[in-house]
Amino acid sequence: MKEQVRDLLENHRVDVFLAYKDLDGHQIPWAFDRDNLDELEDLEVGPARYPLDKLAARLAGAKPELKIGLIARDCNHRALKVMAAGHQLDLDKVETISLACCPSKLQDHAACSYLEPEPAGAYKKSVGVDNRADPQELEPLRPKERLARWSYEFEKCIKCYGCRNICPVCYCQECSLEHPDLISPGRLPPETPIFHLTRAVHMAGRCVDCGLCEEACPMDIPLRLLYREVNRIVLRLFDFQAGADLSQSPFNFLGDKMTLELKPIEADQEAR
Amino acid sequence: MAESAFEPKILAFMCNWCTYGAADLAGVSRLAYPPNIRPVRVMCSATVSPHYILRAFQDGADGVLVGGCHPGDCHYLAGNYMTIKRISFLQELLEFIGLGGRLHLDWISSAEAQKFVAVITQFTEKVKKMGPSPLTGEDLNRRLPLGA
Repeated sequence: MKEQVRDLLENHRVDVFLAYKDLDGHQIPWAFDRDNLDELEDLEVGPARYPLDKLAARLAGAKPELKIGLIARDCNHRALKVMAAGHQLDLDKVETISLACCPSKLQDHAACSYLEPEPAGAYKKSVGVDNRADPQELEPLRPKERLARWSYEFEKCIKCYGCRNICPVCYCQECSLEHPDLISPGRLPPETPIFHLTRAVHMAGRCVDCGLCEEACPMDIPLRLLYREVNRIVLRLFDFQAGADLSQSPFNFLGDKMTLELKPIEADQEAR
Repeated sequence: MAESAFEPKILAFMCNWCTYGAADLAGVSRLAYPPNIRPVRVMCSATVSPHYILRAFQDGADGVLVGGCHPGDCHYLAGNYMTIKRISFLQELLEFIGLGGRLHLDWISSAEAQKFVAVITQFTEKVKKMGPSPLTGEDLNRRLPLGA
């Protein structure tokens, strides 16, 4: 890996390479460049994850001519595609070194910091939502119970904006979550569920399921689970998967025909 | 609260070119419909962002209705193609969270005063049956009792 990066830098294929550097036993994101090649000795690959793709997009925004290399896991690759589709960076100027990250039948080691959420405790299991659950598992619950469980989770929020800040595909200049007319920025605790639902709506057609939001969340809100359901809905309605290729999200263009049908009013009349 | 006493608050986003015209025609034709809707005239149903709908629910709406033009009749040619994408997505997301059934989208042209009345009546009845939005009212104790 070190030699590969050295090669890329020395042959001017990239101007800067984003990877991880060992600092006192911790892996921190680091930009290696041609002038400090000796730093490559400290390059280390481990489970640590940061949104290097987001850093790459920031760099590309500031210096469009810069050729950027980065270590890319599967989730980074998906995020890069979403960002390229959103014109945040030019994939021709990006070199990646792929990392075997997710465990599979062929490999059991995994270079990922968040393969599985922490197991939920008894209290969380009885009144909240288990981070390890599948969206399907929540469907049989009555709507009232689903709302109660999600409310418990959302009401823990301390509005640190960690989920948004770490999200590789949250690249808007202006964020609705800080817009005074939509969600008052200074208000604590945040209004629920609007804060989380607004973010969930914005994840539609974007979320690459990297899980960084949930990993960053200090209150252990099952955000990845929520956005997984968002992805499931988008896949079901539009047959679209963010990051699978460079195509645009269905919410980014009008389209030339109506592919969906109206829901009748009397669709479900079960007691809520 | 007895169910009969509950009068739902329904926010209705109406497209200027169709549904709002239908409401106008319903008024001129002296058709009666439930007074539960709070109309908001918009220039196109596609201008109704999910933000507005979420804000409406957060601030105590029991139901939200969006009225747009029939497919192919959009004044801006294709605005309602976007409307149905957004609303369909949001309906499913709200369903997942446990707030399903309170958001309705319909196509009502400016000649369809009868349909307008029918939609308002049916939707009001449905929301009335569902009861107040769980995000409002005195019954704010949304927590699950332990061991439920």
